[in-house]
Amino acid sequence: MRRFPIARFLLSTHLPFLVMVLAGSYLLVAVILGVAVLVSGPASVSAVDVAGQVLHWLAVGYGYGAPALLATVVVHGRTRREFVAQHPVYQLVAAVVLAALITGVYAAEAALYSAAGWTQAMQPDRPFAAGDYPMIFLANVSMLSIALVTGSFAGVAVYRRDGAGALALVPAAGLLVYGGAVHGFFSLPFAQQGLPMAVTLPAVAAGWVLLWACAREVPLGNRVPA
Amino acid sequence: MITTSALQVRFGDTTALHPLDLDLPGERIYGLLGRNGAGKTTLLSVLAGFRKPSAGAVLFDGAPVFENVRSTSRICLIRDDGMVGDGTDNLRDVLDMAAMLRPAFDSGYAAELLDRFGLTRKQRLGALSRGQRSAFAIVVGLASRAPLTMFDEAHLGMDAANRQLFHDELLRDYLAHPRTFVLSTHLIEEQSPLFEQVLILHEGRLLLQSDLDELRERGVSVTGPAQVVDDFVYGLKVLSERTLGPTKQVTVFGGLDDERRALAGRYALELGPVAVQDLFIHLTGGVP
Repeated sequence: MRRFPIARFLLSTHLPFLVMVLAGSYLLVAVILGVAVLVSGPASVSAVDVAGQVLHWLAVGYGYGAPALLATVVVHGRTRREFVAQHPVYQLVAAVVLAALITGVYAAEAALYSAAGWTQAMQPDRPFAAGDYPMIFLANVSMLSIALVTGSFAGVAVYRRDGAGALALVPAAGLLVYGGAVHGFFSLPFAQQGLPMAVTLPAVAAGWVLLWACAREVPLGNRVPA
Repeated sequence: MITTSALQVRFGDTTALHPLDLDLPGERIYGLLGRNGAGKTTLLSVLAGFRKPSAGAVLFDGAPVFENVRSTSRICLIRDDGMVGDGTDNLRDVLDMAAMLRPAFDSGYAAELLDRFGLTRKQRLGALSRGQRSAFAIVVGLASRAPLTMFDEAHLGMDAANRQLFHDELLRDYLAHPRTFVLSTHLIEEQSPLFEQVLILHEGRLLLQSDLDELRERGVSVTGPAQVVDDFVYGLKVLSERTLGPTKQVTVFGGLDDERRALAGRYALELGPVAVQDLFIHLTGGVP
């Protein structure tokens, strides 16, 4: 039997899809930027940074789809324990790959702005400045990994259809605010300390523990036949 | 193959399965029958590890099932919702996923079945009709080649021709690759020819576990001129009656002794096997 089948499946199918969607989204941002420059004149803020504000919520939404994945892998003979072990690993790898892509797009935009003589200004609460690529990468890894695992935990908690679903919203909201603050999506003091990984690790660990608690014995629901 | 001991499932105050001891030896086709709410889906769900029992144990070849990948990877349950993947996936994606997740999945056989059911790999799972979705789920179930494969009303929405194809393929593949099937169905007369053994669940309890032939011997159908048949079955437990012109067929519960069989011969009455559905209805309380 092949090892880590769930992680291999997700890395070989879901991750390329996410990369394509993100790359396509940035192409759309480039088109919108072009139109905006033609209409309003030279750019004064980073279009990538402005558009990046939705990434946090997109990652939460994607993570929220975890129950469908969990149910599917159990239908195909795998266990919840395998899912809880392999799905977060996939999410971490996805966060790193997507953050690398985002960082590359920031760099490409910087080159474009530099050639055009524009200023690549960031959003005011961002923990990174233009050109600070290590911090751009770390902040996005941090934000994505927290948002993905929290979305997964909240999704599985709601899928249980018991009291855990409602209760899960409290820690989920806390983790999301935490993750958003690290990335500068929210203005919170600890996000400005320049240590996104220091807050990421406990946040992701907390999200994983909560996911494990919700998923380890969750029964598979049956959809009502159409 | 699979056994349960004191298996119990409760939903709050409701007991869906009362303590159940079951022993299903391998390489047979079982029919699981029961009225609505009898506990069939719940039983199959715990046998497949989809749900944790409230009490008791499920063992597959001696090993626990729930959260034990050595067991669950060798068990396949296709449910009546026919959902074996995400609705946004196309059928090729679902089959590729099944091949990655299931060690014995036969992709070549799946492709062959897909063609026979008239499905194409580019179709989106969520866009399939009810019957097509059931057919695709059956493709996944058969191609899983899981040593224990269970279908829970998996034929819902399928037309008669595709249901026949399902039966033919199940039997053909069973003979080529012997394994254990459990078929839960309300189409009793249509599917009972496949069964080697019948399990009847009633109100969360195992009412009967019997070989099909033994079950059929619990009743007799009597066919002949209406008046003669009526006289012949007088005093017997009649399960059902059908009349076509002057001819009548009556199903009676219980065997006939030699004297009655001789009497039937003298009156040229035809004795035949009983319909499993008639016995099922009788054993589970009759028509309301």
